[in-house]
Amino acid sequence: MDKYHQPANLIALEERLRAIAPRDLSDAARQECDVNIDKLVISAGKNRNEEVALPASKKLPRSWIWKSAAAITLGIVSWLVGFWSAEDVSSLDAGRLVVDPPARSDFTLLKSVQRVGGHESDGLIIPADGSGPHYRHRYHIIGEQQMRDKGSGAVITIRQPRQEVITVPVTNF
Amino acid sequence: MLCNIHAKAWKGWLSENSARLYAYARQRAASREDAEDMIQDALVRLWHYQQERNNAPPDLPLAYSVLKFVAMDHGKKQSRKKRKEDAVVYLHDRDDHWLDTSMEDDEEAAFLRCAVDALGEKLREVLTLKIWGGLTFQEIAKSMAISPNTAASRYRYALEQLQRKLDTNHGERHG
Repeated sequence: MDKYHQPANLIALEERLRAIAPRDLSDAARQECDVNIDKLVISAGKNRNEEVALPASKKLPRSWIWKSAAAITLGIVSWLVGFWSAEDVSSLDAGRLVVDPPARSDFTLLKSVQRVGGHESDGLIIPADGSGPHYRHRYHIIGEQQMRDKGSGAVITIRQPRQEVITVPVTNF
Repeated sequence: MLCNIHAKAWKGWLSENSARLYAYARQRAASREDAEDMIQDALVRLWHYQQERNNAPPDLPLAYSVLKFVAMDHGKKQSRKKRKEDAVVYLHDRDDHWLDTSMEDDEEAAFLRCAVDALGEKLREVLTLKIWGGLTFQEIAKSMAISPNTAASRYRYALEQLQRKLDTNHGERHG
């Protein structure tokens, strides 16, 4: 700290000032400080114990909630995609929901597929009606049916876009 | 067990630094009681600040910063109080000076105490932190949010002013 070195006369003054040392806290104030410290330490200790004593459901880390919500969402989406893209009875049923072939039609349903064309998340929704908060996801789904005319052999493809809204409730603690 | 460690650490820290903290608080307070109250308040605030640091006792620059804010709050309350009680005459007890009065017989010491008390607030604060607060210029700078060079300059000005007053006083006494 040579940069801040003082001249000799000021160094002597510094020494003189150090000699007139300040008073210390009074005994009463010091005791009060010690009592305050004890109170603070005990209070902090209590808080720690309360944290440890929390029920298991409340001790779960916050990330667990997000992971659960994500897993539920993914589960629902994959179920929906799997349900509608499979070429089995279920998909036929789904196709019938959209296209209702006439009873005496000569068309044969070749394929019925539901494709997820996009996804939007509206984020956390807190309804004004007092119902529980939830995350809202919108899936743009394109329903596609392929049919063949028995007579001419022509294949017709019908595409019908729609939107599926899925809500994932937020767990209340 | 952990509680005992914390309590011991904080009490040790206070015991080591109480005189320094008091000197700083006293130069910002109107009375000894006010200075002691300010230290109590600062202690509680420091404890909460240090929760993020595992409740370890704070370093001195932080303690002075907190004490400064407490003093400012205290000053605001006091000025409001004083405005309300404007008619009351406050008598200052000269024994309740922020510097040690045990050297009352020493004329120069008494003069020096008054001279320090008469310094401007900024100069007095730096002088207090350096001489009795045990801080370096770097730490003073950190505590007061100024540059180390500014802290050093203020300290130098304070010493020069005191020296000039001492010289004048000495000249007057010796003809």
